[in-house]
Amino acid sequence: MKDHVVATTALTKRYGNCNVVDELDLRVERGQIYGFLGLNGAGKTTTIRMLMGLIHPTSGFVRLFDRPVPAERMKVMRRVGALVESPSYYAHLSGRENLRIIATILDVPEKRIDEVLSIVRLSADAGRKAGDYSLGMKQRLGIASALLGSPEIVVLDEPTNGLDPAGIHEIRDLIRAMPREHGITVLVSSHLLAEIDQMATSVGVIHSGRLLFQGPIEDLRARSQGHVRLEVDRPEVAVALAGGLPVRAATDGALELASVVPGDAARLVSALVGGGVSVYRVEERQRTLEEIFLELTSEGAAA
Amino acid sequence: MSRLASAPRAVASASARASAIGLIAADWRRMRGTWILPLTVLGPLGVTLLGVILFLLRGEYMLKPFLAGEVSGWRVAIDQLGMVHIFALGLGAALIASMIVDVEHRSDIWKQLFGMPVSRAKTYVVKFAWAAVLLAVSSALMSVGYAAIMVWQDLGPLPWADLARAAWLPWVAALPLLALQLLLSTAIKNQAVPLAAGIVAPMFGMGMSRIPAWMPWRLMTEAMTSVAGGAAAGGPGEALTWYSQSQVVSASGLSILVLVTLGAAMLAHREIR
Amino acid sequence: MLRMLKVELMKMQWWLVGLLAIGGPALAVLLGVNPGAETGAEAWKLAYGYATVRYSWLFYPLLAGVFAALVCRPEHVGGGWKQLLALPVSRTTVYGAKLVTLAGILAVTNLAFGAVFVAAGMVSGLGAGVPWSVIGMSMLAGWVAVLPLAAVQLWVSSRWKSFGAALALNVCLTLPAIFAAQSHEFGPWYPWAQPLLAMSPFASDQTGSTALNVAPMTLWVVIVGGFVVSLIGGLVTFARADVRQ
Repeated sequence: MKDHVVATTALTKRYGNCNVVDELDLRVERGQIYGFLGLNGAGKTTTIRMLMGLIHPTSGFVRLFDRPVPAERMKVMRRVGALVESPSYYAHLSGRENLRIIATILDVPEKRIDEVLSIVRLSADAGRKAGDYSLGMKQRLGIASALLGSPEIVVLDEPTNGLDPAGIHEIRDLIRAMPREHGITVLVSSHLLAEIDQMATSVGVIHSGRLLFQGPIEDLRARSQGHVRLEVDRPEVAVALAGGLPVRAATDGALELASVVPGDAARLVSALVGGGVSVYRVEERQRTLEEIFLELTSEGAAA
Repeated sequence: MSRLASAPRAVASASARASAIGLIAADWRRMRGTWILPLTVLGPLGVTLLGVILFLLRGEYMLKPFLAGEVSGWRVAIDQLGMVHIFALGLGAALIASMIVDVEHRSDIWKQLFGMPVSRAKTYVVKFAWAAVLLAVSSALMSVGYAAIMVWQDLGPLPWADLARAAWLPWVAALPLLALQLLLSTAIKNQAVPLAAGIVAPMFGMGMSRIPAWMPWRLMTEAMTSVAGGAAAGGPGEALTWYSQSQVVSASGLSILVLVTLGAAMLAHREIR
Repeated sequence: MLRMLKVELMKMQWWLVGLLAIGGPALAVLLGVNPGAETGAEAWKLAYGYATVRYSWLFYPLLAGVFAALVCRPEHVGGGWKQLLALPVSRTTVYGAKLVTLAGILAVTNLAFGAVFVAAGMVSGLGAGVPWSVIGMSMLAGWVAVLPLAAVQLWVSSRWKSFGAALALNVCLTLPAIFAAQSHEFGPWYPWAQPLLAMSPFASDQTGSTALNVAPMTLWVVIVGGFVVSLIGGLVTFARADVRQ
């Protein structure tokens, strides 16, 4: 039995006729950085709100630390830190006062406020009103709030949304350090594949409320197996000449050889030339995760 | 230099003129789907219903002087509802002013609005105009309510002149308050402040003889007293100096001019963050 | 619960609450007290009766609505509900803390009204014979009588983001109170008329009854019953609500 920090079973949320979240089986293991990937409106935030007990599932179950939520929410929430969607803050209070409010509820000492402020590098601006913070600072204040109770898992919903590249970089480093330096499991959502690719150890891809893929990031990357691309003058003839090789015509008129074994490419080229097809260009291509993602989502949409 | 600048300015003013109509339409679109429009109708409906309940509960007692021929049917209706009419109008003005700018505050539409080639002062004046129109609708409906009650209770032939005055004079007197509330609601993002002020304000004028008669709430009392038949007949409230109809109108006009100009100037010079 | 209360106190915009809770009643008194020729106990009672009418009919109930909205405002403005309710506090505790805070502010408001009235009365020469028991009872009764509508306003304010909408409802329900209060059949049953009825120093002469200036039936059914119903309604709504903003 694996140690699942988050586990959902057939989790569903229906608004009107639309299943915003549809039979989701999410599994987050201890020590992972779980990237929750999906386009805007795919159901990420709704799912996260159900994990936090903020909204009630239409059907299905949520378990955090193997305890049912929302039934035993009070017992587990002490071990969870969350930043749900846009950061929440009391605009008329300073950054420190904002944290002190949460610290009072969680009953953690003042010292911890200083610690989280320095983790997110807000110490110098702690006395300023949160309403006057830049978006990046508000975001970091939100992360500081999530870390305040020394949680075992932090849930961060689109933490880099609206940040500049420097801010994104900073938050990414912060997230990557969490399991390593603080032993914290991270569930982070994003609509940007590149971002998840750079921090996650495990991935869940959601589209139209359904989970299309869940597993180690390496498995997703393995799907990005390369291919050889050939530009030729008569693709329809070329496919017939390929013999037993895995060749197909791409939509733009090029050929795709789904193999990167050197001999395969050589055999294909000589067969084509022998058959009177002109080969203009041969190149090896890695499929980007973006393409895999598009493929997954279009499969999901077709299904 | 000035000649160079004049050509684009002419273009700008032409487009600004065109957009005045656009502004009016845009405000209408923003108001639909908010609570403002239902409130405009529900307010007078509520006061009328209140009158109905009142006549049901205490009709016999209230009608006694009318049946004895001592007072007109109109006085029976206005004496009972006049005071609530004033309060509803005043608090309604505060609510309308708040709601008409609250959308802009909450979703920070100000910055989007002022990124477009529209005059800020015009935006403000259009908002005031809309609020005034809504309040006018409420006021007119109030008179319809009075008429309905009079017909229902058989209070004699409808006094058309009095009904018309009850619709427009309190409205005119309420406009300075509306302008003041709009100024506050626009200046302060936290709508608790202007609305709280709107709630505390009635104490500054309702029947307070130490307050000058031209002050917004006091002016409304003056107007209602005039509608109810003037000082000789003794109206609701206990003000000592009664304003005539023309005094109410000129005091109102002057206040509106000052307050709306102030609000427009404030919005024009404000930094939008 | 105590911790949540402390948190509520930390979040409030005190300058505004203070201004309204103390400045408001002070204004009501200062503009409402007309120094007469009379002095002594009866003059005090009359002046108090005069001062309470507008305060207890309009000002106090409307202010209850403003405070209810203010108590919920910190969360509505910065998207605070989702953060607060994701913490290990029960929704019942969150709601309860807000209600207790609201009741506390309303108690202070009423005390401020009483204090300023006595001070103003002394300054304007009403002389000796301050009817302490009448005023004290009126303060207490008014506070108890305002609680049901405060609970209704909190119910509404916790759901509606718009300050204006919550207050519009409050205005619509408060204005009829003056008529309701005049009616012997209807008055005792209308919750928004209760502060007006309960605070009048002549109330006990009319209803000829009980501890809190109100008929026992009204006290138990309308005030206590109304409070319990709106408290439970508000709590259930709050506990079940999906937090989407």
